[in-house]
Amino acid sequence: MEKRSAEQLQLLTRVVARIADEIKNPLVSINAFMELIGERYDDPSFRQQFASVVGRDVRRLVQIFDKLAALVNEGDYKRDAMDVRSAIEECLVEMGGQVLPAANGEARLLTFADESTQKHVTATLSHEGSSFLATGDRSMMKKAIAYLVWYLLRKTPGAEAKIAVSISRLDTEDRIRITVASRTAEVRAEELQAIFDPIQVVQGNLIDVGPCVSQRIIEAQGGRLDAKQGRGDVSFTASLAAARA
Amino acid sequence: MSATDRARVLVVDDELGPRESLRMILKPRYDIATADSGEAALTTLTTFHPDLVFMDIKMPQMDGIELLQQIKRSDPSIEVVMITAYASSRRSRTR
Repeated sequence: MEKRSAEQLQLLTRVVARIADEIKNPLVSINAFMELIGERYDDPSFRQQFASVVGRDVRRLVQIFDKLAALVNEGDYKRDAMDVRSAIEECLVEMGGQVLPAANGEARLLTFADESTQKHVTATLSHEGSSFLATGDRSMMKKAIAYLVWYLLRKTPGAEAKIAVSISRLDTEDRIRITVASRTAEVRAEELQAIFDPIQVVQGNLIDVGPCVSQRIIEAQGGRLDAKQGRGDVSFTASLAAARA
Repeated sequence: MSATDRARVLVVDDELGPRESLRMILKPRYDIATADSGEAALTTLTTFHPDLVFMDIKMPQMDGIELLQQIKRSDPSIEVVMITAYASSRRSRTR
């Protein structure tokens, strides 16, 4: 009993240390900004360039807070009718995606420079089927998808990242499938195996806790989320019960 | 470095916030270059020739310890300051 308590305490200490470490980096620029603003206000590069760095770090802290809050949320989400396809497109646009002229068929091609990972992203959004209505919390669903995209961006070496998002609902199925995949992301097999275990992930990197949060959000809405490593790509597949039109 | 030259400082950190913070703090008095990885730092060394390097210990791919060894191998006169903000000092002691 005492041994188990000691192990739990040790685990908790590691998790808290990891969270503190993750919060520390954004705080460095905010703290430096506050200390220097009096004497350096007249320096244009301080006001423009450094202010943008600080703004990015503030948004990063907000993201960390959002993730931790979603991780401990008891699933108290809205249960509204939502169009999954438009929610996902909106999510990519809110991440900065600019829709380019249609590549082929009804697939959308989006490009953006992601602020948090500094990657240049090319994303495709495609769908198969006609009705993508589900019951759930649209805003939380967008967060769940965004965390998966960010995770894949973070796992992409180099500056160029490719993301493919597809939504499908076959005539014979009453479920909507959403796949978020990347051919540029590199994830070790053992890391992918533990990807939905927040304790394992939080010890590695709090930012990578995103897929755990996505899974909680999707499961709280009656869906499921799986991760898979294919030949040359890493993908997440979510499935949600379709609502009757 | 001549008496009229400003000292040259290279800041190496994979995190933009700490990297830019150090640059902002130091730039009124020193010539500053920045690098976001150990590999980029080694490339910068060949053109910038710093007197001093500030570097984070914990970086992906090449970490600060390995970078320190490579810098000292290429030019032992460069002074290196290692920066860390670990919750525990165990790593710095073991190194």
